[in-house]
Amino acid sequence: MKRLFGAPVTGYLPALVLALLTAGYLATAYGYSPDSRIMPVLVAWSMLVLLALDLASRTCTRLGQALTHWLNPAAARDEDGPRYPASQQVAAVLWLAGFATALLLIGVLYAVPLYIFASLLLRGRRSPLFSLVAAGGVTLIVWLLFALVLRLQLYPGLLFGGG
Amino acid sequence: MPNMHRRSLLVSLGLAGAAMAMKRPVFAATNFPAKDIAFIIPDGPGGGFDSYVRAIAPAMEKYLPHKATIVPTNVPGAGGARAATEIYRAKPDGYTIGIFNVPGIYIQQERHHTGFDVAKFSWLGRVGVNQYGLAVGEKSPIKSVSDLKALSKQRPVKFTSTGPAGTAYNATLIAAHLLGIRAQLITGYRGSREYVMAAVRGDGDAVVTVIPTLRRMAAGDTLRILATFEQHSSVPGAADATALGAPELSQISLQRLVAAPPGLPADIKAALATALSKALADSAVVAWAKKVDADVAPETPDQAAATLHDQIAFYTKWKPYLKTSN
Amino acid sequence: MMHVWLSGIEGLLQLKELTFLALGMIIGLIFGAIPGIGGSTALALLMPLTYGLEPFTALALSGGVMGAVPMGGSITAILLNAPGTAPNAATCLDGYPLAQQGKAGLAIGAAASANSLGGIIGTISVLAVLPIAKELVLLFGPPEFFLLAILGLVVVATTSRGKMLRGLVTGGFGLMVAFIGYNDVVGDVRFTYGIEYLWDGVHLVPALIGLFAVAEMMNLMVKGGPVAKDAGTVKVTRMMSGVIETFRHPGTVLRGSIVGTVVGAIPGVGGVVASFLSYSLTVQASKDQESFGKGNIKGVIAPEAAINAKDGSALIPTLAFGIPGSAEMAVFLGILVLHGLQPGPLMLVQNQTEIYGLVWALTASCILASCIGLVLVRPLAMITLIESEVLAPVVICIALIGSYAIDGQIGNVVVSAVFGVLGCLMLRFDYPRLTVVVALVLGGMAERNFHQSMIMGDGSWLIFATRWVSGILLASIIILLGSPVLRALIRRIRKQTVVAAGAP
Repeated sequence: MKRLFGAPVTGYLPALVLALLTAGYLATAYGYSPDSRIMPVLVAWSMLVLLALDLASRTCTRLGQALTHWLNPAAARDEDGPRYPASQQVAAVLWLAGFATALLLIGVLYAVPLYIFASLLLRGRRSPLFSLVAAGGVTLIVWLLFALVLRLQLYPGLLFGGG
Repeated sequence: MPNMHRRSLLVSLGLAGAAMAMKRPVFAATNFPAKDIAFIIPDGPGGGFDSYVRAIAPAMEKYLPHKATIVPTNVPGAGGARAATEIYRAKPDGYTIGIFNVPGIYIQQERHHTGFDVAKFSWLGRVGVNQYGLAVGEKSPIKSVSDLKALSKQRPVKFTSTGPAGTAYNATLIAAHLLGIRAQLITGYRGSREYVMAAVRGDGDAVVTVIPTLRRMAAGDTLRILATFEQHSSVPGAADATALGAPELSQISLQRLVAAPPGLPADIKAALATALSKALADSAVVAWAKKVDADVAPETPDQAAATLHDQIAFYTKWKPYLKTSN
Repeated sequence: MMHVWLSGIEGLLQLKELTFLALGMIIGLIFGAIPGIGGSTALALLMPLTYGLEPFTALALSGGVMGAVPMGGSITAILLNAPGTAPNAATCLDGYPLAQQGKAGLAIGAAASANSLGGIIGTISVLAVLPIAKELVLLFGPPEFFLLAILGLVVVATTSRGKMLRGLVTGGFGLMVAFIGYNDVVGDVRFTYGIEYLWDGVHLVPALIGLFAVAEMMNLMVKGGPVAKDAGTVKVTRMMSGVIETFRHPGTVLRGSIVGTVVGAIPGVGGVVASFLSYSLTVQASKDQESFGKGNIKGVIAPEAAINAKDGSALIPTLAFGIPGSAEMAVFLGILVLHGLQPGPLMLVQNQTEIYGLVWALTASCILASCIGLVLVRPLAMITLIESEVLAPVVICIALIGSYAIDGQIGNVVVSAVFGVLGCLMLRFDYPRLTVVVALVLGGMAERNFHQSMIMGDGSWLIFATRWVSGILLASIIILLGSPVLRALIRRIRKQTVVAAGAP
């Protein structure tokens, strides 16, 4: 784990990424009319200041420790929480992204059973029969509740005509 | 009434389930309607347009050539543009219709260049129309339109209103111009009830909105109606467009028109238009309208299309004045 | 006055009305539990059914739904960190940690009794206030709304003293997101980068579903195991001790109910602010701030009391002026209009029996729903024993579909997914989620009312000080911001006095 100013690099990432986003937000805001941009600009500049403080507070320098003590004391105490391998977290995100994409492309009625089945079988390591039954069960509940009772048009998916 | 309705609910649930399970081919107009018709509302449940559709839909079902359910469907968002886009892109088979705020939807189209063209819809008729009026809070020292004009010479008169894409905003600016009042709008209120209450509260000096809303608030002694923009005032004690010497005021209106996607076959159009106009004459609907002071003013499809074009012409003429605001 | 109150109850005690009340309650309970669909969906669904009913019966049905929804929402909030309705998100903060400790029964028991108590207190307040409702609502204009929004933001930001800096960062992020979309005051569209879905901004409920439900389920997948770590503790449901817990913290209940009543009466602010504000104020008033967010029962009682109290008072602006205090109220308004009851100043005078009947229906439903919640505690608590590999995909699935079901926009699913990932990251890097939610809700309100106040006051800032209600709010903000310094000063003075007294 690479360290910068005494703290692991990954600790700086959230604030850095946010700072980048805020800078882009600020640039866009300056393109709007004066009345329209007062609040966003104010908030964005404040954010940049706060993010700078956040970055500083994560370093192990004297300044960083002072900032943490006054503004974020809980951080000093929680640093030793359980750490889960990043690969597992990335996997969780990918599964979610996959499900969301499936919903978009092939629609609710196909994505739901596919996701449940694949999730239970591959991640949950349950038997194919159990996964199949669960997939069917959940799809049935979704259909009953949303399509029948709520009369909601279940999204058919971009590939099948949704728009 | 309740028994009939519960039965039709069950029937429609069954229909919905059956339709979902097997996609039956929809035959030509002679079989119309063979399944549920979606009546799209450009607002969330509980709004003004929503109430109209929910009151009319059950009546309309009675006058369709075959038994079918009309399902009020809320498609809120983008100031009505989302609903309009959905209707525009739907198949012109008579199973999707919607209610529109005219000129509101035209103003949306012009401001945001959205994916539809109001002139191309298949207009089926009109449900109601409202004209506008001018009022001040009960506690206001202003007692007449001339008072407002006098005030306007000292400083701009503050009107409470919605955002620039709203019908009220445009109505207010046009009216102020016609009356020779310098106006400054306090924008951003969400909906007529909010900005009228704002005027009652004293946020602004005056307010321009549809007459039924004015009447309701005046009945509770919170508002004083200075004028209605009708040719002849329906509110005793209030001036009208003729008296104010500005007859063009009566062209400012809120039309509730019904339409289907472009290219609707003539026979389906006739069936829907007939069902609509008969529903509006139905005793249950008439009684409801009277109870809640809702205006019911039917028009034939051709008349509705003509109304639309009149409104478009009116707003096109006023467009240069509407760009200037605060 | 008593006479009208009683006529309201009388109208309710008919078999037909009670049946519809019960029906509404069951529907409200179920719909409240599923994230994304709540009171407004339930009411919209029932609207055609009410067409043939008498107005009073329709009101009994509506009251039944509205009173039961919060209880349904709190059950899923506690068991799965999936708020059934937006205000229940505050219940997640301490309710879910309790479930993780195997104390789901305790939490649900406390939520049930807090619900009932809050509802009762809210009802009494509403009944007392209804006669002067009109004047009260008129006291709040744009300057007051702006300061209220700032007050809300300040309260929540200063709440978690331990995480203030990161809380401010996430709050700022929430504000930035709140500004996306069509700006009603100026009339232009901001930060949508061409995406049409974002025209109306980032919707709150999909974001909440993502931040709480999806994020937690993803987290659970990584951690493994069921929600509750210790099966033994779960089996002892401790439901009754949960119920009694609420009575042991009367201050918290009262505080939550009052916040709920007051905030609920302000149109447009909604239940989310009521519950989060109640939670934040309870944290601030506590001597044991660190324990919140880890399973402090008061963190469940406070928001639950507020949510049910607000249901009653949200009726005030709805009935007095036809201005709905929430989406649920907006649909309810539609039902009123459908039945020929036109909300407005006249309604408060002419339809008093109906109004009081509705208020009693709300209260009765709220208490009944709590009882049903209690009956179901044992089987429900078993959900916390289901293995995460089975539970997580199912919950994520239903949550995302529920998000879509709000208004049929598939974009909601994308929002939920994105905020789900964001929520995960916030958990991983220890950034509080509380401030994001409040900022999302209050950001738009703050900006809009600021601009309106400026036009009203002709560009002068004095408008915030010259109106007496805004003056009070301004003073409250300053006191809150200065309170840590004030407290330190007071402690120093006390120490000096003790030293002086102790000196010979």
